[in-house]
Amino acid sequence: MKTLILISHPHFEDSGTQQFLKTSFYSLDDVKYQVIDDLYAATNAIDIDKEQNALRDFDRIIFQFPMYWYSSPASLKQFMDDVFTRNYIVAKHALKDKELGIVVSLGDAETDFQAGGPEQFTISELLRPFQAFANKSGMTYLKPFVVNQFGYLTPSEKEKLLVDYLAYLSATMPLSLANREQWLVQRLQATKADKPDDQQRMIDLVINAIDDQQNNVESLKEDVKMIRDQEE
Amino acid sequence: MSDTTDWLADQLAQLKSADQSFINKSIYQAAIDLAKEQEKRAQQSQDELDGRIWSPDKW
Repeated sequence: MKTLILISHPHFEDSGTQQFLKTSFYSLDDVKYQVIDDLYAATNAIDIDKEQNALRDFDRIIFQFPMYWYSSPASLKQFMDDVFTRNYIVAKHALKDKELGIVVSLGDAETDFQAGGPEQFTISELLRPFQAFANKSGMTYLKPFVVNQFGYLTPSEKEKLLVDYLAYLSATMPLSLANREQWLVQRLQATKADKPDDQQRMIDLVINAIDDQQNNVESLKEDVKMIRDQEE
Repeated sequence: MSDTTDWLADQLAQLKSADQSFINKSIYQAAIDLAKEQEKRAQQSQDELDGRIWSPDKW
């Protein structure tokens, strides 16, 4: 599966959050990225055909940006207005059956975004225009991925953010335990590169044990389902 | 924790401390968390099976 990250950020290189995410996604082979602001900085008018064609190769498209006044920075809107023409989206269904993900970073606490909280509205409500766009395009809209106040994260929270982010980019959705396990096993395989033989063997044993545990979980789940179905 | 989860956590912790890459360290930590989650799910299903099999409704 191939993923394209379209990044909208006026100061991408200066953003600690974005550089952390960039270092992370560099570890995945099938993930490409484009900073939209660079695209517009390089030329006065972008090549619409070229940008439209570039999207065809990807199965999952990610809009990644910091939340500016409850939406994306202007460059993403500009890109959408320019590249997502009615003909391309509605007549040609060019993005149909692809997935659309949103990676949004917040300066305010995520818990502020709820009814009765300081921000009053949830992230899902605020991102509704992107969901509507996915709907119109025939895309599958993924649960938005929120990067919550990156500057305040502890090292162990950053570890978790990194893995969750990589899974959001490249794992099969929805991210059930089974899909997460399958994805994580692939990532464990990838960590074997350049390791001495004894460590590679250790990783293989770990993978076998994790697979066995997952088979056990699935088989117990089946048993429970069978008994439930008989009872109800 | 079960013996398998203990063993997995131990092996993965060794791999994590031996690795310099923050990305690999994060993957190993996620695998430890996954093993614990698998054990929890298996235990939940096992408990539910026990509960349903021993239900007084069937006595």
